Amino acid sequence: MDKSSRALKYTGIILYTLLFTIPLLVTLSSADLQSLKESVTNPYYIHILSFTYKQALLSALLSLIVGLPGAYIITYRNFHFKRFVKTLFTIPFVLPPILVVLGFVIFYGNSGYLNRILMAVFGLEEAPLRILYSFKTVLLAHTFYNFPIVITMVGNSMRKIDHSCEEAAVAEGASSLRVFSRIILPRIIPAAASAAIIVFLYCFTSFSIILVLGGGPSLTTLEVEIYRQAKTSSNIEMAAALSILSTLTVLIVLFANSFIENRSSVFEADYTDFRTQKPSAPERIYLIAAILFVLLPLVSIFIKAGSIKAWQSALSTIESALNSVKVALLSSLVSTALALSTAYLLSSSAGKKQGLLTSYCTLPMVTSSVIAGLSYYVTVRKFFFIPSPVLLILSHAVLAMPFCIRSIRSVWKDIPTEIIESARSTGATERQIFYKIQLPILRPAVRSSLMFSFAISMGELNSTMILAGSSFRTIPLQIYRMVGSYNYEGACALGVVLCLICFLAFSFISKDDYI
Amino acid sequence: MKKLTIILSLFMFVVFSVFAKGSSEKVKSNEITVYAYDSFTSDWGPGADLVAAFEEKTGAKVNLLGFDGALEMLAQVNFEGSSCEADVVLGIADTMACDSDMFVKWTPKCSSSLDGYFKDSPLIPFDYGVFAFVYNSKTGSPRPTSLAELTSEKYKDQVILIDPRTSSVGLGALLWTINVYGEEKAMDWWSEMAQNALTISNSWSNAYGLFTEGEAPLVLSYTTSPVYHVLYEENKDYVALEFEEGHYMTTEYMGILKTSDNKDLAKQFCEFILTEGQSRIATDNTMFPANRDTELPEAFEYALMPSLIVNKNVETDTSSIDRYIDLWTKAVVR
Repeated sequence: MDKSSRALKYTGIILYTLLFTIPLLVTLSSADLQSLKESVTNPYYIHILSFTYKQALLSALLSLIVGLPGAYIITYRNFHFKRFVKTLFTIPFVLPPILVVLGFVIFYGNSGYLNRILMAVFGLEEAPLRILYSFKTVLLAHTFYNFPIVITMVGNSMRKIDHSCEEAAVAEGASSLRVFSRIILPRIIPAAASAAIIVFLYCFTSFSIILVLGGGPSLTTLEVEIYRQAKTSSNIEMAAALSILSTLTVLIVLFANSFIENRSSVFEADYTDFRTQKPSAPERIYLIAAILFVLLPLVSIFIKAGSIKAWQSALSTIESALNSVKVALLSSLVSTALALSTAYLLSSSAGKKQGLLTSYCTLPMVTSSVIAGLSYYVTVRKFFFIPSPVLLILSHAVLAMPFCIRSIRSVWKDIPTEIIESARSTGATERQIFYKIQLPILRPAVRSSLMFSFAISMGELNSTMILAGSSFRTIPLQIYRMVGSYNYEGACALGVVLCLICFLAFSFISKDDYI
Repeated sequence: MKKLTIILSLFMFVVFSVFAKGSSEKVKSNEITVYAYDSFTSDWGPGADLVAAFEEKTGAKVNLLGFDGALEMLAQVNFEGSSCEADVVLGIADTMACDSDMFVKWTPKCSSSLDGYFKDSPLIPFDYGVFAFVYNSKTGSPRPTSLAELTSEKYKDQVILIDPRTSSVGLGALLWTINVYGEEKAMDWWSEMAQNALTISNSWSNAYGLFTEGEAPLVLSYTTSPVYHVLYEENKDYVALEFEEGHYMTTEYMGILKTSDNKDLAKQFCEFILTEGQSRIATDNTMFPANRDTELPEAFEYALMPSLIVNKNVETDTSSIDRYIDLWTKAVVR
């Protein structure tokens, strides 16, 4: 193998180790014994830990209860705008949590649209729904954010079930409830469990939602406490100790999940033709309620942004938009370059080694982004100073890398080996093969990788909150500050700006063939 | 491929140079950076007006940067260390554990007329205030007369408190209760209040925002807070309540960092805050100005000066504060 192709192969993984693994290890190892001991004995930290578990468990359960009927309806019923509804339910995957929480507050908040409508309709003096700053709110917001994930994940798995059993049961005269509980439910349990675990993890590492809707020591999650310990108490040892607790939990849960996922992959076929029945009246009501539940808060962001005052305050902070774009552009380049090189390495390794490498590179996906931010914060503090915009670019790039690798790998896997072999036999170097054959085929994948990591960086708040210096603001950070000072109009206008930039980027990248 | 590399490196160069601009700005002789808490820098705070007036007077440029709370501000200054962008740090309360060695020693011209000024201290007082609960009388909900009364069932979800770990106002209230009750009983009060309060906010501006949005009729603030509403909104619904147990007083300081590249301009800015800026501090930061020569507007008759001030000799050194906070965190989740 020639030198340059070896460089190409290993640059990604080496830089990734330098930029992610080492800072993370430096950070986790700054926990001292005393903080570790205190984190599991001090009643305050015990409270935080149990609150974090409790809310994540309940949120997962609620999302499951709300989402399962939706998964059923989406799979088994045929109705108008089905594609639109399915797209709507994927929004939580792509929307930054700060926008979700903003929509939630301005719609369901004490002086939000819903309360104002209720007050006007029933002639009430006071807001009837007082839901902010309580345990209920946290659960509601998490359900709002996560039940569409259940619909999408479980729905996808339901589609793959062989439906002949149900047809037979229906033919024999079984009621649809009976068919669901006896035939469908047992077979979707792995998918439902998997979805519940994903939701559990999202809620376990929930940050912006808790920061805005929770408040107070009694409604604090592990992530929020890690942030506070690092940022205001300057107690790095404790932040590291809590990070260990958080990371351990996530790893254990993921380990459990890997068993379930292995089991659920039994169903492979796609029985998409089984969808002729119209939804019944209660199913219709469910659908409409679910759509409104998700859609209205998002629409209210756009409504609230429709005032002159909103755009005045958004314009006064337009620098944050420029900052966001700069960081997102650079970080998407960095992460895509790293991902390309890593994908090269992955494709030239096989078997167990490939599996291990793949898991190693997905670590940023499972480490909470608060901890990822913390690891730079601590490492920089220990060794040398790097300006915060550069830290943001690097941390966003590392956080987006697993997604980039995934989209590049999905195309790379399908490159026919015959082409590579014949190029090799005619004397092409590895380097030539990469640049002349593989890269051109990968072009669309590179584009979507750039797009993904650009969008991830644009919406990233958690590591940004820890790393951004005093003078450097991004859009999500500015939205968070505006929500904190009750400038909802400005926050919504900036939210619209964020959506527009991402939308523009998506359309720009998909047209341009030369990046 | 080479073309692509060249384009990419050019692009990187351009963007990095844009970022680099931010850090080189500091060197300019006619520019300073001021860190302050966000209620100072926000729309309704005095920051923007003071900066504009100072810039007009001197032709200098002031970058005013806000933080969620004074404690986060100080943590950031410590974190940035020798590369700290700030020249002036404004809003350090006497309750906060602060290493005054970071700051330059100097004496403002008007030092003799400053309340709370200590000779040879690098931290210069610019205003002071007295903690109190502010009550929205329009709500018609019950009106408390003591700290003890707030823990009763009547005030369930009626009070907004502030976290002493993130906000100097929250810390002030914690010291207020310790001065009144002593350590142990103060924690009992907080333990009960954690259940009774609507929420414990991160910062004063967050708490006061909730309060003016009408989320609760009582909020932890200063006895001077009603002045703002009288002055700018002609609204006399907001009243600072005098409590039987007495009140706790706090002084806010500013300091010039030793790492500042532009100490002369920083001093000019501080002098400006202590003289011409004082009436704006009084009306827009709604605190009592440190400079006794400041003429106060009539609206200050709505500021309460309680008859009983309880600043006893409760320790406020770093280790004592750490102990109070530790006790507090345990108390509020009890």
